[in-house]
Amino acid sequence: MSEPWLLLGDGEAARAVILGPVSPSFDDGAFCSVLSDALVGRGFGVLIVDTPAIVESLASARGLAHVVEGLAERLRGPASGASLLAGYALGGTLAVKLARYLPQVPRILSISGPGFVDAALRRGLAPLMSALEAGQLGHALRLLAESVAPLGQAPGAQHRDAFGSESGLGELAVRRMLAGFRLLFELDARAEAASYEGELLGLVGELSQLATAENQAFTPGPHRRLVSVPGAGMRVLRDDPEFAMRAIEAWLET
Amino acid sequence: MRQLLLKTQIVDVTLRDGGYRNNFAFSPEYAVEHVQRLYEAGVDYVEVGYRNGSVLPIENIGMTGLCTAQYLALLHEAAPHLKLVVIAHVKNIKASDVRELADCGVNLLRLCVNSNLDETLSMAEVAKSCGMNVSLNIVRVSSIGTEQLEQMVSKIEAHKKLLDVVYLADSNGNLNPAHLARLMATVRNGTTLRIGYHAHDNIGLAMANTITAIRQGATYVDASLLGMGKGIGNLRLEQWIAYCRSEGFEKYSLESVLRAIKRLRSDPMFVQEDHEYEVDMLCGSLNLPFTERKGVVERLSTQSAKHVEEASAPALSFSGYGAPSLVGRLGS
Repeated sequence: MSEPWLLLGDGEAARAVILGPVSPSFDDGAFCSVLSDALVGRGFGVLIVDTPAIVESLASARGLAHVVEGLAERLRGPASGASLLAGYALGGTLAVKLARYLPQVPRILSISGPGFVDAALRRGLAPLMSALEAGQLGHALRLLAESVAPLGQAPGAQHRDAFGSESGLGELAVRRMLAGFRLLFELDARAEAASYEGELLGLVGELSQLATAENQAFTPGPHRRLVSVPGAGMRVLRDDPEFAMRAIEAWLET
Repeated sequence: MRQLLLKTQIVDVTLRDGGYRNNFAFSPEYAVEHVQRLYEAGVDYVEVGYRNGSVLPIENIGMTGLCTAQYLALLHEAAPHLKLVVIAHVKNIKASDVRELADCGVNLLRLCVNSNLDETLSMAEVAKSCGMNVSLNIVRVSSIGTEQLEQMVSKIEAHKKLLDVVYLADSNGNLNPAHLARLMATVRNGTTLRIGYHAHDNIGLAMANTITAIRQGATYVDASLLGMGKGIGNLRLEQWIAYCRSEGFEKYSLESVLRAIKRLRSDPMFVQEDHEYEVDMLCGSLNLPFTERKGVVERLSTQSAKHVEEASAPALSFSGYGAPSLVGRLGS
């Protein structure tokens, strides 16, 4: 893949952009297939972005402080004319942050995207960061699976990230994940959410351990809808795809 | 109004101004919870105390009256992305104090200024060289005449590279919206620095004045939980956030702030001070600084309020720090 994204559907321009979560490798959009399929069915061209790849590259070249601005520059072309900017986990946070740079986008969808890092999220991610900083990828992925599963539940296959053991890829996976989580620790999207003039939808799992109703970028109100997905953890599109998609479809109809 | 509010930043002053009600004796546990909860509420800055005391010496002053490196490290660790603010009177600090504050991660140093502008600007230069943001807080601004304020602002503008914000602090709680608008115009016409406003609610105008300040160009607003602050107290943070929401500005979480209030109310160091309400009302009405409270207390105990007003008339021209005697409680 020459560019760190994938374009689905007909049409040359993407009408929807989906920013992916922190992951060890790009899964070609499997993380959001239920959403992208639905959007393609609506006639959207859908751009699925390997967010950690861009973040890692920008963080190395410019430093974390300039990643959001750099991401906006990278997306300005492919995302021009988009009517929906969506993101998953870190991608959700970034979707809201990008509102400042892409104000013409009329809808933003943040799926399990923390608006800022509160004390609970910082505590939750601390062991994972320690494992990554020690280069313990396998351990980090186990911790990630435990963190994204609903509270009190053992992680299932839908919570684990498949990752091969090809030579050299482990180091890249660690770099991607470290860059993504380090960026997340620096982000606070509350000011952008407050100034955004379009429609905002946030989805959080009722039993999510990381993104919660408490650390969203906004509180519900006019033009700001927050939906809790019953029984779900971080991966709401996998824990309860029917409920999550009903909420998204209903919002798109408003 | 929403467009104006979008540009504003909130500075919580509970740990500092609220310290006047409990001898600055908030516990470390409370302070840690406070900064975490306010960060979660979206509050932009939290002022965590005075460095080396207030304007007058206070016996057995507590943690938030000193802002030691240990205290600041505790808060920085608890809320690493929160912008911490410390305030100081230049007479209480040295350059080494400023450098230590910078090393402890303090984002904004606020320097109180009234008649001591030159030495305050010198300290601002130290702070700026350490990479901190710097605010000059013109205290007891209701006692400063237009000409004097113009001169101060002119000098401040000449040194603007050392500064980020200039504050009007209604320490006496005396301003009304019309008076404040005139002061704001003087500052706005004299400097391109950002402007902040610190309200006291002695005569019930903290909210009205703060709205006026925003309309007149202020972009920094001070407030405290439940208005906990010197005397009758400050603008109530929860009310300001509710007001912001009523104007369609929803950056801050009212729910988080209300949880923070519940925690504060349950803390043993919370003091709902209203037993000297009459004194504070009069001080605000008469534009008297806290140093005049002793006289007001004594006169109130023997005379009617009208007589107090007549007896205190000369103090309306008060422009210095005055007698340092305190009665009843601490104040600034």
